[in-house]
Amino acid sequence: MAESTLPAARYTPPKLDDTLTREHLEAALRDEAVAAVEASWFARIAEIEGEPEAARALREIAEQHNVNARGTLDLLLRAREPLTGRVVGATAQNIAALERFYAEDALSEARRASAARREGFSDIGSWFESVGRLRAAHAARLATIRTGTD
Amino acid sequence: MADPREPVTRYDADSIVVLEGLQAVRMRPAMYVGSTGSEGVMQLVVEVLQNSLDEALAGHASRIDVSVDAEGRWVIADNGRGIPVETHSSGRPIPEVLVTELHAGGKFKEGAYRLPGGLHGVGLTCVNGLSSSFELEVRRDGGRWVGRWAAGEAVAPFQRVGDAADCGTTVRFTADAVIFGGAAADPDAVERWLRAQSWLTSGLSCTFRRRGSEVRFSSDEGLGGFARWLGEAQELVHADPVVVSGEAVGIQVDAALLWTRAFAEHVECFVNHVHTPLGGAHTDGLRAAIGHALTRYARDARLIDATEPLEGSDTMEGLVAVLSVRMRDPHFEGQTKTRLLDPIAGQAVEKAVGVALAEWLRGHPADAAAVVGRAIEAGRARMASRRASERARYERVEHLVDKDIYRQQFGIRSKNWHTSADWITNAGLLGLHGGSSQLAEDAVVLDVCCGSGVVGNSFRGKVGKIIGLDLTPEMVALARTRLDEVVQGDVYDIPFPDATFDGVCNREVLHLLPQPERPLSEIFRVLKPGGQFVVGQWVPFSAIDGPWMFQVVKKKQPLFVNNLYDEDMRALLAQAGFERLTTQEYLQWEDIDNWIATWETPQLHRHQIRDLYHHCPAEVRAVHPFEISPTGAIRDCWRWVIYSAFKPG
Repeated sequence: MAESTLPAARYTPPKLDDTLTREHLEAALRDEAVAAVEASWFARIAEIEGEPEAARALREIAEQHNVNARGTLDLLLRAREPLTGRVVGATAQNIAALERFYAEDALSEARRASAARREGFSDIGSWFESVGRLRAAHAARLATIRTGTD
Repeated sequence: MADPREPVTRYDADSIVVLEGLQAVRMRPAMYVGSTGSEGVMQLVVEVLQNSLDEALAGHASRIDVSVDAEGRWVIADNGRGIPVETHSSGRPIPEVLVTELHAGGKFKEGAYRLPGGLHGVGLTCVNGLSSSFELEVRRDGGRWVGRWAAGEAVAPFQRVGDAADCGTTVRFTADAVIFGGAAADPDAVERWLRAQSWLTSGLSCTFRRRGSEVRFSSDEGLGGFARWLGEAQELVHADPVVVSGEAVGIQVDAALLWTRAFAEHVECFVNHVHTPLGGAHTDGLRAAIGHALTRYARDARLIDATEPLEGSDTMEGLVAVLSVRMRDPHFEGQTKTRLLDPIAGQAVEKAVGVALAEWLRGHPADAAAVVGRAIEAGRARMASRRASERARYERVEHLVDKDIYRQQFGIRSKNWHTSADWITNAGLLGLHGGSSQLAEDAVVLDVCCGSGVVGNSFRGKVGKIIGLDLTPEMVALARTRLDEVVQGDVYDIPFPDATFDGVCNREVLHLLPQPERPLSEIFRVLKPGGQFVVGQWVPFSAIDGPWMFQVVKKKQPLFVNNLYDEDMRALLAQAGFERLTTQEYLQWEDIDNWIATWETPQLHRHQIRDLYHHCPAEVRAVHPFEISPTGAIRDCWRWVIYSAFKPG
């Protein structure tokens, strides 16, 4: 067979960054993660209320949401990690990304706490503050690991 | 970072380590017995006990005798058949195989035991492997055989040492301090286990000797007696337990139900006599049966309408129940059998209990009305609790606190205030409050939000006069039995002039008060210059356990609004103007099951609190000590800080 004289077409896969698809993936991840937590929480309530059939169904649905959330995250990570927008992959990069998220989110939690207190939700303000402290502790823990592995 | 292309260690056949039997148990003890704390030691005791119980259930033993000495040496003896002493096909005596080989035992084959409990061939081996000394004595066929081991290694071979007139097996062991670090099994839990089994097993008597005393359990009252005993400290809604005994889908179901006026439910559930503290399918079936039966009865009797929801948690409130199922090949979550997984057990329980309970309700209309009325009352309290949380939140917008909410809650709690939590009357904790006093003998002290007055009373003998202040009339009445004078009033607006008191004390209140800086400024105002303020507050151990502790406390107490850390307390005191701050810390163990058995904690929240402990993140467990006993009881270690500070002179 004669060789083709046409130049080989070079396929360039589209980049996920800054696409509507990436936005949709991020929204889907949020939905899956929230639904996973809700379904397992509701499953426990059903269990306590003596509704084992409902509990089992909700628990099994929660498992699916968890699997879907991981699948969605996996696709998102082709571009960047969604919490900080950093490129991740190897453990050192992954830890650096989460460390940055915890450090930044500690400040966000403090802002959320102030807003909650201004609106009269003392308990929710206290919750945000508690979470903010935990975020800072997690950032410090990951920083220790990162500097130990650098 | 190391170059991933350059392996730093070899990974080949030489890297693979095969742990032989007991080595594996000693290497990963928690995998086999759940933990290396007191719960793990308890599991060792229960495992030996379960073997004796299996002999009783098979109809061959009528006694289990247990003792423990001050050194933690347990002796567990039964009068069963005794372990067979013949030589195993491996050439070793069968008892030696049983205590040194994992997965060896008489419970794998049908015939020897109909419905055995225990860990199935892992248990006795684990006990041997995790004990610094282990002795197995068998009395059988006129002979007496003994073998001894230490940390799983043979010390004296298993051999005949004499004659015996009786039959049975005796195990003597001491949990290895190398593994368990000196942790000990809770003798009270062992006593509860023996008591329970004597009720669950017809014809079985048990004795327990410890600290020179001996108790004996033998009861033919069955599960009804068990439920009555569990509820004996409570006010009963009906006199006689509902007793259920039936079989469904090949599973024997026995239960006894007794509703009380208590807030908490107390369900003891067993599968083949093994206690399952986390419940599982059989407990789910019980809840479903009770929920459906009571709701149906309440609707049929027009006690509620479709607009008033009766939730499952309402129907369980105040229930004392014992549930025992006997089934073949049950499947459990985890090696220590804390939770039953088989849904078919739930179906069997739902059917058997549902039918029997519906029949009992029809046949006992007065008791039925009382039980259903109790559930309706619980539902209304649940709604009130939710409203309390919401109102406390919204009132804060206007910088006001709805005092009625606080009055209502603490008014109700005043009825059993001192027994509603351990911390309230803990002598060590109170002693640190009064003990912090640097006041003159004639000083006048104000106990703010004084409750029953125990904190103010801890200053007794150190100062001249102690005055109490509380919002709740019931608490004011209680405090008047302890303090010199008690005034009803509000901490946001203390009804005393400036600079009235030499000292002010307070404990465990600021976390319930929106804007805690306001009551602190009031306290500062009523103190004389140079006056001392002593305040005790539990605080998280660190940032790590804070959010977890927030959830535990918020679920328990809807009025909880401030998760105060040590640094928050220091900052609040400094901002209020106090100086010369010193602190003392105190660790106090709280009985969580008792702590959450209160009016303000709905049933659902009690379950969710227990879940928080059972599914506590490892990071939190590493900083915040707590214990869950094999019976499911939770004890939490609370970090108290007692702050002493002074108004500038």
